[in-house]
Amino acid sequence: MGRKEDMAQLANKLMYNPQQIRNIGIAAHIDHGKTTLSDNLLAGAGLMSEELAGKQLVLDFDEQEQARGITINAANISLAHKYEGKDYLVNLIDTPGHVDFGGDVTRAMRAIDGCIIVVCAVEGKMPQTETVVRQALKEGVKPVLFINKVDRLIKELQLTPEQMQKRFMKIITEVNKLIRQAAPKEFKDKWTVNVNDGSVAFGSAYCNWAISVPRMKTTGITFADIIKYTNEGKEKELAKKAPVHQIILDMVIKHLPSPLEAQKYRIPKIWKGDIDSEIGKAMMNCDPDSPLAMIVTKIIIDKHAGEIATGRIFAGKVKPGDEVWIVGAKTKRRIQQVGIFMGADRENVKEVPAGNMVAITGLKEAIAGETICGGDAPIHPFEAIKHYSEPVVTEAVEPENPRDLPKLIEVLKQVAKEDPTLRAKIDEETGEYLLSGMGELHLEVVAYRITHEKGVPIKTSEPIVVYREGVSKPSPQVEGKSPNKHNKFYLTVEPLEDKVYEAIKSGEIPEGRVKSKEIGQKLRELGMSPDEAKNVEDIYQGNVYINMTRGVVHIGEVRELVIEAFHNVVDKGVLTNEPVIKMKVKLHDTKLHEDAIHRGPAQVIPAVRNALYAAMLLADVALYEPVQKVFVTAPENYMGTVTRLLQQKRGQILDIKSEDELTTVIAKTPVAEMFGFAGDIRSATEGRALWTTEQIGFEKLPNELQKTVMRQIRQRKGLKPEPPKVSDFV
Amino acid sequence: MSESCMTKIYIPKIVRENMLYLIGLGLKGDDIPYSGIEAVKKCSKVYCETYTSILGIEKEKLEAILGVRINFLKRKDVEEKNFIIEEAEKENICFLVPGDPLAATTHIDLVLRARKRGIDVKIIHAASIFSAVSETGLQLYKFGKTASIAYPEEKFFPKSFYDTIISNKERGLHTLLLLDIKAEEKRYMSPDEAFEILGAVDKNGIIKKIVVVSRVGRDDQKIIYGDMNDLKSYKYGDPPHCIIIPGELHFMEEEFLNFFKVKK
Repeated sequence: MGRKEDMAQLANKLMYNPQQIRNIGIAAHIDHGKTTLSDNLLAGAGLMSEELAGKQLVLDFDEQEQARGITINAANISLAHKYEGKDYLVNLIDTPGHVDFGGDVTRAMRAIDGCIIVVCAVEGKMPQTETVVRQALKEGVKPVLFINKVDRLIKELQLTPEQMQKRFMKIITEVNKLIRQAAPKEFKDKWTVNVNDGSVAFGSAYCNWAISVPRMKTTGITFADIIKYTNEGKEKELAKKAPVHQIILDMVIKHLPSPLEAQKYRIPKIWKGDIDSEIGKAMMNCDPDSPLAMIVTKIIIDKHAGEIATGRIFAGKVKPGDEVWIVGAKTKRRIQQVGIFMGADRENVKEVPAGNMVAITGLKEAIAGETICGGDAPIHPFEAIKHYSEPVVTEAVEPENPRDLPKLIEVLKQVAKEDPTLRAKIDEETGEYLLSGMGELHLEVVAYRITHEKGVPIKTSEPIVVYREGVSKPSPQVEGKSPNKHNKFYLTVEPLEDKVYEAIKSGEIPEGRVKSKEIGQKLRELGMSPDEAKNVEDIYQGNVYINMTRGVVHIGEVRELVIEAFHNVVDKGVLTNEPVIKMKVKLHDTKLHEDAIHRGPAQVIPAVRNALYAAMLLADVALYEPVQKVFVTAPENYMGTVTRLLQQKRGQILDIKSEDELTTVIAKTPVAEMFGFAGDIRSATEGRALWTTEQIGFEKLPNELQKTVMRQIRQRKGLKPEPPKVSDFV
Repeated sequence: MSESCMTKIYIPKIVRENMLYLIGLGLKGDDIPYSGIEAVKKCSKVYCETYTSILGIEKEKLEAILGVRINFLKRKDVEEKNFIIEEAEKENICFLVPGDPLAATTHIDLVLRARKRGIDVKIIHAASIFSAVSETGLQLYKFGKTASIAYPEEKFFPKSFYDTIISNKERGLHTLLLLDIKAEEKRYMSPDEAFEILGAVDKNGIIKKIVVVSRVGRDDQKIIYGDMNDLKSYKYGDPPHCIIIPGELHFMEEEFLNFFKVKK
């Protein structure tokens, strides 16, 4: 325990010295050993016993995480490490690898400057590795590589030193290919990892050892030695000579940037305000003596302290008692407690300066992604933290005890705040409480937490797939009349260009009101006609609104109302009230009443909404379902069974790869068919298969299912079984 | 030309028993013209709307004066439903409107719908704010385009009335500004509310003199003239109000307006 306090003291001193700080994360595919590695780093710092490191999974401090053996929430921790005679402070965020929790990963990347990519030596680079590394690089986070589970190469596959090196080279080449593809232009070559300079390490976090090529030279350990130690069961000796925490943290300090270095190139990427302004310069220089500028990356609800906002400080200091702006919420709040994380514990400190991670209480309105600042006026907010996937599965929840209902409402608000990939809402028609998330597992975990951590036992319904509505062809021009008949709007809808849609989904083109000309330019490059591209006024949930009118005198006064109607329609499609995707809406002309009172919200919104609904019906609106890529790895003799099971689930086999008697089948499968897949695959392969999924978006539901599913959704929502007709709207 | 070569065409006279009357109630609500009273007697149903202006008398009193039951309608009943037209296809129906029926432009749509169905429409006019503003001494010839000041809402803050004021002013013309009425919410814009909106929009302070006309045509009508700042502390009383931004003044206009000068 003593060491923990010493650590806190050291951390308190080091945090004022940005050259001696590293803010890092660990990025990996599920089960490649992130948490085991984190535990080793903790043990090295004396925060847990070395015996248990690799086995206890301290960073998985959620009771449930330990039970499931996977990491669910990104946890923060600060450690001290000595390198070349100097003390360093390493702030580490552990992030989950399961695809259902991808939102946490995205947000964590904003707080860190460097990351350790962990790849399993046996499985190699996996899809989730790729996704996570891409996210890191997009945020300007520099990588190093750790090849884990080398002991398995020796014990299970019995590779020779040459075969081992060959395998490492293959992994390194693949990772570097990815870095070249996704890194910011100026770093494409600088950031590739290299065995010789020590930006690659390999070892076994489970057995507590690691080594890199420069370290092999200084310690004299060879590949043959490693094999010998491992085969003789003397890993402990190996771990004494080359402890994993030391090798990895040395690599981190040598190759990953300090905040002082990183903020110079990261700030212009994540903050689009004026770089030459005072706060801009302060952030570029990681200046602790400027007004505060920080971003919240996560909200944790603590039983005792309440809402804790954790995030990264880019300029200034966070001090208890200071009044700060919560920029998005446009309010001011007083900071109550300020702390740093030591594993599951929070240590209160008197202040935290720029370049560090921090935990704050008192910022009631803050949500993940929120900009917090000091000074007289709110600063320009940080770029939105874009998460690629959207919720695809919904469950209705209710308390086991009806008296808990008010409590449940409160708890739902909390969990949605803690985890922004989660949506909680009340269905207005049925009065049900709906929880939407990234997958069946995601919701299962949330339900568990509501029952056990928040103390509100709940029942959940069968999971329901979240569908989308999309149009299949261009509609003719539809005239929408206002209820008072004095205003007319002429609109069309059509499918949005694939490339434009992809660019919106990836965050390359930001959503919201279009203000800069750059976006028009980008849209043109993606294939939109110049006439349309320059008139795009709003982008919403993967849909685009274009104002093609010319010379309409009062258009400015109704613009916001037309966009409001566009949002209404996107939120609730005409067919089933499910959200609309990939639609291009064009306003061609409008005839307005001379007097403003006759063209207010009550007139304009229904006129536009009805026209859009009619246009969607005329454009063959159809249902789209979420689709996942499924990767199943199993011994060769199960391939037939696996393939058959996937095909039964409307799966389409995309690829089959074989390596060392293991075969991986990659298929595309509708999420609707994947409920209960865990059980199915277990019984089909006698538990011998490993599988993961990756969301790939929405695809049109097969024609033969359209009608049935449409009726099911309408019935569930208490709507008439038949969808509306064009004549209902015009 | 002999009489035999003339073809006599008999056009049978179609006696229509159906007609839609739009009848003005004038400024007070009981200023209905005599011909309007006669028309009401012929009708099998009498409707009245109270959302484009404010009826100056109690509903029961109006029923008593006319000696009929009146169905008072909401905006939605008239604009979004069609029963008035459907009934007017068979019988005489009358539709009472405070002021002059077609001075409330929205009712043009009702007339249009009736004409499209071949229903005869008779408009019986009455006094309206558009002519009553002449009580201020400002000459009707010199009024430019009229505009309304609407209650700002989320995502809706029309400022085009200001463009109207400016373009009228440039031509030396007066601007009549009608103030928003949200009858269903019982919100009637007061001169003070209008001043606030004007102040927010007129950033360069171009608007100086203003005439406020309150409850014109009624016994307690009030006309007040002065600088916007001096007008702010005045108690105007109940709605309806409208305001006028005067353009260039003729000497007679000026002389007349001075009678209404606000006391500082």
